Amino acid sequence: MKKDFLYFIGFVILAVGGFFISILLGSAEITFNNVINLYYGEVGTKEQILLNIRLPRTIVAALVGMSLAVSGGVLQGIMKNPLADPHIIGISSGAGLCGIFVLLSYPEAINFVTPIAFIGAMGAAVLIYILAYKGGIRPVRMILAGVAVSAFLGAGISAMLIFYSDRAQSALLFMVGGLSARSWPHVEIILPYAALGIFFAILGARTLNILQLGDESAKSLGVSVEKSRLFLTATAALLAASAVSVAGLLGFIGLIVPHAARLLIGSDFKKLIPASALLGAATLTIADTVARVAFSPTELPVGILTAILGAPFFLYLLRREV
Amino acid sequence: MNVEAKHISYYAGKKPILTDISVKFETGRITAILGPNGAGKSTLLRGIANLIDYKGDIFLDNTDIKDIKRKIFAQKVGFLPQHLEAPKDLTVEELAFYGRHPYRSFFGGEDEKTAKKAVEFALHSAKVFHLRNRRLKDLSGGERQRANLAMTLSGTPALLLLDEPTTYLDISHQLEVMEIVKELNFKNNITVIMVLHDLNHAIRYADSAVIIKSGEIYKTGKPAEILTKETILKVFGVDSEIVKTAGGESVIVAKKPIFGK
Repeated sequence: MKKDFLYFIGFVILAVGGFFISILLGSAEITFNNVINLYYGEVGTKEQILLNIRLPRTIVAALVGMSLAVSGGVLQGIMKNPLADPHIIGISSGAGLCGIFVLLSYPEAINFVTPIAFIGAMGAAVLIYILAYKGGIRPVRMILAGVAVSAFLGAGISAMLIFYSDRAQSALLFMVGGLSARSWPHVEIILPYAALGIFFAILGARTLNILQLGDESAKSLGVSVEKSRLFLTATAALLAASAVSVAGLLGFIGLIVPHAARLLIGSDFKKLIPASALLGAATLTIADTVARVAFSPTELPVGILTAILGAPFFLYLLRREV
Repeated sequence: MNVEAKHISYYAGKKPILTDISVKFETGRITAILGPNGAGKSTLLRGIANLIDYKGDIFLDNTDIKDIKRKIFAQKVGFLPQHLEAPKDLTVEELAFYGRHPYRSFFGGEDEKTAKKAVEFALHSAKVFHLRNRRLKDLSGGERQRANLAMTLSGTPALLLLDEPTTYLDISHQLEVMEIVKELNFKNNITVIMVLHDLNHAIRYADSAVIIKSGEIYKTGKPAEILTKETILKVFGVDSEIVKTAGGESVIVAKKPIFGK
């Protein structure tokens, strides 16, 4: 108990630390004094940069990181599959296809991008279940179904790119996943959905625990297994959709972060969900800072960085767990 | 808790697993379900646990179990599957707390004190109280099974359903589990229905037995009385000898299988 408490203090320090690293580091030199100035309403150029560029982008990064990490944690729980991640199993592609459709065809409807992406994510999730279900869901079959669904939806995304080749640049960035030029409007897009999703995930934590005992045991402990799984899948899809709506197809955060959290504090979802949220925020704010600063003045999309880190990690898990 | 199954049938696809089974299990008794592999023992047990879609009716104290709310049913009936999957980093106590799930509601439910008391009862009953802070991965097979039993008991069931609770355990751990079950039945008046493979365990620990063969009831009654040389040959295809110990207990000595019975 006391050990868990210390871990959580550590996670909070990491999340807060990531937040400050992200708002302080970058091409324009900003110090802690500027933060204090901003607090007291003394707004100069640097404070403007802080207020309108760094701060919203950091908030978006933190919310996206939280959403992806919690989404991955929930998916790993309902599928009892260490390889589940919204990106790998194709849920993000579903959100992505619908999201990019709105962004390119009806850019004025940007406020609806998350709900529509949610429909896509849920559709992809249901499709993967149907394809992978054969008297239970095996990890490998689910990954393969996810690959197939991803490829199928990816074709749709590529088609969108060709139809709207004049906007190919932004669409390409969307596919890689990145946070460049994310500002207050994007905070407004993601915040309500991310908050709702994390709230549902925390409510579902106890059920997730029971689902780990197997479907029959869960049933005999009074859980309506199918209903719970649908609710939790919808929660994971909502979180994935809210992340995709502002950051594009950012991969592997949902895979790595819940794993790291589980290694540190164990399999109890009542602790795992909040830990994943904090670590997700810390990971993405720091990764995005690295992506901004490493090749300055060129900015790397953070999706490239997470893929470089995440793909080998995925292979490592694949060798160990399947 | 009184359990009555009436005309139970179950098909796996087109293959009949249980055909028209009617059987009564009496309150406060230990009943063993016996039979060869694939006879339908586990299926019958899972039917009673309301885990499968069977045809027919099963009554719990004269109420059709399909009319009982899932949570209420879960509070009354504890089910231990053959394999309980659980994250290996859980402690025994954490696992036992999972067994309180039927008393929780979406936003909370029962108070911690009641839960704690029930969990302590379960840990003591399953003789794992001293192991409560150990992680599952650090337990032996027998300790692990007792931890699983504690999880099933923390819901304070009146009916306990056990699916081959001694499989994979060595003799001493098998006997430990059987003694725990006997004690629960005796002290707490818990009705027990369990699938067993070891016929001698059935004779020693069960008040009555239900023998199933190819999805049908072959015989019911006191284990020592119905487990005759002839029954064992017909149901299991094994030639055996039944000897009496000095204490007057029957012991079945299996001798050799008869192929093409």
